[in-house]
Amino acid sequence: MTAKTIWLILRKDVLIELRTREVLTSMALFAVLIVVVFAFAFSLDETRAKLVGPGIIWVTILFAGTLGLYRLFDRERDHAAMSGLLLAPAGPLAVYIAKVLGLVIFITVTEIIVLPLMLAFIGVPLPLEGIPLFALALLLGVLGFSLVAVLFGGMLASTRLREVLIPIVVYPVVVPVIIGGVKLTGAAMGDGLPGEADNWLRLMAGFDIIYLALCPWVFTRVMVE
Amino acid sequence: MKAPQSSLRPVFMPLLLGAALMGVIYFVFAVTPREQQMGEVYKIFYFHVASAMSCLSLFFICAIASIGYLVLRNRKGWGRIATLSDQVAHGLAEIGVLYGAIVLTTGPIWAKPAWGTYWNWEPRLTLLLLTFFLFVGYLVLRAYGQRDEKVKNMASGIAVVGIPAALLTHFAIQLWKGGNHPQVVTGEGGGLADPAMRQGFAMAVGTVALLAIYLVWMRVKTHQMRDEVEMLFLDMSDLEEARR
Repeated sequence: MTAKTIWLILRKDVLIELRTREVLTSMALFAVLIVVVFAFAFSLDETRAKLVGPGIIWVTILFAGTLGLYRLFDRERDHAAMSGLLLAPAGPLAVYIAKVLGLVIFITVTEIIVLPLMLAFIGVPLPLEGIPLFALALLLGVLGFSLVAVLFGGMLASTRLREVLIPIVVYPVVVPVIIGGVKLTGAAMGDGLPGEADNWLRLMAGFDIIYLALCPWVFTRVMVE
Repeated sequence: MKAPQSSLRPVFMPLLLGAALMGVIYFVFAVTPREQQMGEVYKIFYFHVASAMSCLSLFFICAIASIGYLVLRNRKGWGRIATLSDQVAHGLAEIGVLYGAIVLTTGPIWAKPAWGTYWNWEPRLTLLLLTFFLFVGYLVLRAYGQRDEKVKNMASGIAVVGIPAALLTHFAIQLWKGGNHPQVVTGEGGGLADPAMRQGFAMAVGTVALLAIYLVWMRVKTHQMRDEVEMLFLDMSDLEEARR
């Protein structure tokens, strides 16, 4: 029952996206623009690019992800669609999981489109042997961000202050993921101490596990009337 | 109807706490010895660290009260306890943010002479700053909808999710900086060599914590009164409706 509801909600979001393409277009465009702004703000050259490159990538993920989050829940606001979803037999848990999966998919697709451009713009070479580590960091980081963001996004979507409140509460919570992501990206680009990467992977995996357990519980408790 | 309170009670605690704070200030400035390297600036340490300890405890207890609220709110017969834990959580968050503001103001004043910069990304500082931001968000949300049931749920959710994040951030930054932050902050042991310093520190921690408890209690009272007024108002409008 739950699995079917999750699939249906996820399918609905992806189908709407395939027909309108509004979320991915705006996320990708926004991400590229952030990189362009950073390129000018830091007047990037080769040495500086290596220093700030990983940071730029993760700030972009964070901002584009927030944009995607808004869009993901904006759809459910009209005609009290959110209440309808919550009333589905599988309950709030299915809604939460479906939205997390949706956000992970949207951010991942955006990254696949934007990353090659970003690497070219920033000018950091990503060696072939660094790609698996980088991909793992992206996966863990995007999952961690989505777990927290969807919890707060879903909770606060009905308030008038959501655009202000969501970043205020989401960003402090995901700081460990950002630090870990930046460090791992640096390691994938051949920076940092050997063996350090394992610690960061453990930290990010720990974050994901803790919030994988905590967020669904909180979401269920908060959203049930 | 409650019996009218004696006129002495509202001033007793403030007077006692005021006197205790004066005592601590006197002790810290007149009795404790000058710290050799930092001199007089060191005195701010007593209040800074005492406030920081209270602040983090307040946020932590707020998260626990919020868990209590989320667990109990739909159970039959637990409604009153759930309401109380929500009011307590709200009060704790308010005073926690107040204390956080004290810590984040006194910190840089002390850090400039001690470390040479107003700010560094030391694990404890960062932990406090991020938790502070999170609970500012909490209060913004609370202010948006005072009596709204949904707002209470959301606020509790924020408090519950915040605490593991704070611990993870602390851990992450320790990993990041390799744990070589200044020893002075450790408080006990290295920092407080003189027995008078330890006494002063203990007095400051105790008094500041008592003040926090009193302030939280005042806020909880205020929230209870507001709820009561709201209920009376609703009753009244029901009555008027019925009369018509």
